[in-house]
Amino acid sequence: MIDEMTTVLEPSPLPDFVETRYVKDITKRGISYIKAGFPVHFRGVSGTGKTTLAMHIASKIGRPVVMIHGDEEFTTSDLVGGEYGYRFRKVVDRFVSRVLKVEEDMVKRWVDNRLTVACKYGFTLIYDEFTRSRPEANNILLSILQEKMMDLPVGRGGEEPYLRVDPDFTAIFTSNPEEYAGVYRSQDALRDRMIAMDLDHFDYETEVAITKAKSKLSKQHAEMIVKIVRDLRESGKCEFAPTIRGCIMIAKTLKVQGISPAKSNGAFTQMCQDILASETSRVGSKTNQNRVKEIVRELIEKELSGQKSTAEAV
Amino acid sequence: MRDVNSLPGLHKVRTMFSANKRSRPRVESSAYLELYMLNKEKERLLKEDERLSRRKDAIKKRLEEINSEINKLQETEAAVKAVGDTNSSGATFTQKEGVKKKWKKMSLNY
Repeated sequence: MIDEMTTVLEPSPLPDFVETRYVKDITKRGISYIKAGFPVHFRGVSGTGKTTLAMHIASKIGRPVVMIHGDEEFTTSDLVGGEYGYRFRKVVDRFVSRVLKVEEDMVKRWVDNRLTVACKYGFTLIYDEFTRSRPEANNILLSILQEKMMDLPVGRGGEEPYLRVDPDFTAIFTSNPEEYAGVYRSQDALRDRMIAMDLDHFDYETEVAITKAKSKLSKQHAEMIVKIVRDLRESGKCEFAPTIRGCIMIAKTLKVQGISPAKSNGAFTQMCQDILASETSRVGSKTNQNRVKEIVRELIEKELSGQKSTAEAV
Repeated sequence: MRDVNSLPGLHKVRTMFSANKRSRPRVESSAYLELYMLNKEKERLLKEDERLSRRKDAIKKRLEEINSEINKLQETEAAVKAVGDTNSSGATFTQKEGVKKKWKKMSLNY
């Protein structure tokens, strides 16, 4: 008795999804590797758009998507499938009134999990943060990616102990090598079977476009926020570099408050300091926070004075 | 593959007449009778040919009607399927063995 999951994902971009030259270039490269028959692995620190780009490529491929989020608790059966309960059947036959015929039957119920379904029907697999799963849980992927064949447990039943992977099957992986909590190193054998694309923070043009699109803020204000965040990132004085998420948080908050940075009477500086100090430190030590806050204040002053002098010149 | 229709039927049975056989030996004086018999057979066959051509016309007409109906229904079905595919409620994907399965689709916006 084999059951399987019946829900698949259909990724589609939101209206505010930004497709700049940088995004188009990465997407094009990713799709070309996939067309050549290789899985793609987006590797990079938090906030570099790994998952979004994986979903974007998956939507361009046009096949239904199956998504797995890496987890330490995962075992092979969480990917392949396992026995989940029993199916019990009882038939009481009283067709002839003086004869009672009872027939009972109990079979184990096997449920195919996401990976098996994706391999069987040729769907696109997005394995997000796959290094959060223990390396031995990912062993099953080795034969899938190389020999295009999947070993199925005997307990599954069915007619074949092996499953031939559908030619349309595609895998996109993401991982963050700098994450410190709950991650494992990826196996060399697995890493060797995929093309890793190292992602860095978005370029200036993309960051401005994303900030503007997500917050509906004016281009001038979006540019100012991005400049502050990028300058802070490039100062190298933060424990963790601020990401595009910081830009979006500041921009959205500014939009909600309906204020202008120049006329905010210190509220904008406070907001930037709160958001960026929180984003750039892990434990939140006072010394670090004060240092970041001071840098942010200086950067904001520089930006505001720059804007003022430009306005005067005009 | 041979089936019951390809078996020889009653009309394939050779008759004395079609085999050009006689129970009595041919004589000169029977030419008139033979002419009469051949005329009779010719009339019968012409009538049969006429009946068959009428039947053939009717069959051709009905086949044309059936074909146009099939095309119309196939177009309707294709249109319904296309609407179903664009609708996010579900779609079918065929496995290699040809087993069709209905999938629930959940949109994932990014």
